[in-house]
Amino acid sequence: MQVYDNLALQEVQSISIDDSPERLKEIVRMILQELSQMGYDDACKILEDESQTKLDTTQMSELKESFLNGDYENILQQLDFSDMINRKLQYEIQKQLYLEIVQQRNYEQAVNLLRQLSEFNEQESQVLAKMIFLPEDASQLYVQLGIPMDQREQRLQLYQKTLNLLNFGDFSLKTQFDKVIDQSLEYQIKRCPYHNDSNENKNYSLLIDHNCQSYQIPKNNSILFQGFDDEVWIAKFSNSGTWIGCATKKNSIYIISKEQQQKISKAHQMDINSLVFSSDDKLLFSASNDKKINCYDVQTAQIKVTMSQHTNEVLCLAYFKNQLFSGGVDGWIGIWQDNGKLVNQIKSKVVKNILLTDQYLLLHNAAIFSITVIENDSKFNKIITHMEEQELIVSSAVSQNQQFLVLNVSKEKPKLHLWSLKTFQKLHVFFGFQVKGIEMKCCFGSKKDNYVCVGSQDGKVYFFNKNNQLQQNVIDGHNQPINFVDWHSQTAQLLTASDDKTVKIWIQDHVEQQQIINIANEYDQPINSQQGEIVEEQDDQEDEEYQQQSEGDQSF
Amino acid sequence: MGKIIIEYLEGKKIYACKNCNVHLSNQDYLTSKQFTGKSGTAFLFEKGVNYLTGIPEDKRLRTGLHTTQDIMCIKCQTYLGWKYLHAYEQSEKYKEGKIILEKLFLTKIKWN
Repeated sequence: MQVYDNLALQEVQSISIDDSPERLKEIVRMILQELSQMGYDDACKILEDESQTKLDTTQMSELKESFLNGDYENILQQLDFSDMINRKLQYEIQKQLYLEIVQQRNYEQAVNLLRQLSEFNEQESQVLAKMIFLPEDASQLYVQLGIPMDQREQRLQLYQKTLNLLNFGDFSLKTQFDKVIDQSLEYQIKRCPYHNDSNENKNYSLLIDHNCQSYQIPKNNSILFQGFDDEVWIAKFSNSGTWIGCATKKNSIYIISKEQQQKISKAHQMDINSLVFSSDDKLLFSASNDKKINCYDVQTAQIKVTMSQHTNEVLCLAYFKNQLFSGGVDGWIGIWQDNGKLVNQIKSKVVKNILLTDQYLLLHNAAIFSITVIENDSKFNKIITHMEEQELIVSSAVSQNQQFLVLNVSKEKPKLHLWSLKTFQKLHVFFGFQVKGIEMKCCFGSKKDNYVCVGSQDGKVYFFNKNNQLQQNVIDGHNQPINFVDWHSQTAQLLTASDDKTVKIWIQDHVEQQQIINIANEYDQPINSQQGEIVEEQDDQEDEEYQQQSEGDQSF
Repeated sequence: MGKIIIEYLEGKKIYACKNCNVHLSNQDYLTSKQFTGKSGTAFLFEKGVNYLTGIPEDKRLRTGLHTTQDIMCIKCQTYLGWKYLHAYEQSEKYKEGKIILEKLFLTKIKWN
């Protein structure tokens, strides 16, 4: 077994350092800017002298000088206004002028100016007007306007406001440091291969390169189940993780655990599309192209009930809060009780997969390229949105925390799309695995759903980081294509099912010796085969019906 | 081999593979029923899904020389008909890109 680790990490560490004079000058100026902003004027001055770098360029110094002297005519000459900010800036300068005129008790000019001001910002002009009529409240009004009392400070504030409004591409007084820190943290997070956005590690610092602790991928094969009668197409953990339900190409179902392995031969007449355990792990339901849903007792592998109300292929099952949901080609979602009683029917399109969260019922449409989001109330008649894809959605999975959805859209080119179930926006694309016209199941992994895993044509399992779409890790899982991956969050185990007729369990911890469990045919149960015959008979009848139907069709 | 990715069609009157029920086309895409294939009546469809195509060959058909390729079901690989790639006669150009499915290999699935 080969493990490829830290591919992305190396990339992060290989960033080159630029030590050109321009870069050094820029760093010093940013430090100067930050120091001056913080009020360390002496330190600023010393640094300016020592480094021969001025905080402000000459042009900027002149501009600042003009502001501080209240030489507004000069300012307007110096500034090359763009139309966009022209009005706003003019307003700010006029406002300052107004305040100063009022201070000089030149009321006539002030009223004229106020008229111009009110055109741009009526609300604030009303406050400004009070300056003339209620001079005793001036201090309160200054607070209200957010303007300092001292004239020098007022002018400095205006200068800074001006700089913020204008974009001095080269340098502006607005502190760049904060912005740079934010940007670089964001960048580091983006490049962190094991990034985990949970609340625990929110204390990022630029003093060290950010790297989350590597999370252990379940890359150690602890148990190998072999002896399946054909390619294993489905392998799924039960809710507790004790049982595994498997379905093979020969339409056999296996219910296996470490201690007990049971086989149900020819459980269905045609391809098995879905397996699902009930919440209490007592029952296993299977859906098939033979239009039937079977319910098995997990302990004994005895068939308990068959639901045959669907009139066409049943493509998917879901189990949510003591109810079974089924969907397929015949255009309705069935809601069933454990005893096989049909409780409710919802009209739908051709449904390939049903996903349930506390909030939503997600229908993965097979004929159109979208996911229909329906509110999960008892009626299921309120469609919230449609998540549109450009291609056929092959498989889908929802995260444990019910906030993300991963869609396999690999019909043409292998790729996965990650969607948010909060904003219903597409977040990331993952690629790098191989698919050739085969349905590959994908799933979320790790306790906090940090990974997306998918099986591949080359027998490997690919892990992607959900937060930054970096490919994380690869396990050389099987000799042949992997059809199904299932992650059990509580036990942190990964299940893979492959064309090589084996199912493997992968764990995080080191494994001394791999356990091999042979699944022999001796577990075949005679009662089951009898049941099988009955089902077959029914099927024969239906086949006849089918033939009649097609004969009837001859007339078209 | 794994489970083959199969497309499904929405709506009424879907034509499917008789052997494995895989959807192939529907009545909206049906252009003509006046065709004859190896096994008898055949239908011309605008387009279809879930089929594999063989090697392109030049064939002299009743209506002249055409470049065609055989169509097989993606799942059971049964021969179903052929696809017109190129028609040499000007009057037959409309067939280019369309597919022929032979009635014998089709079944009709209806639902509402």
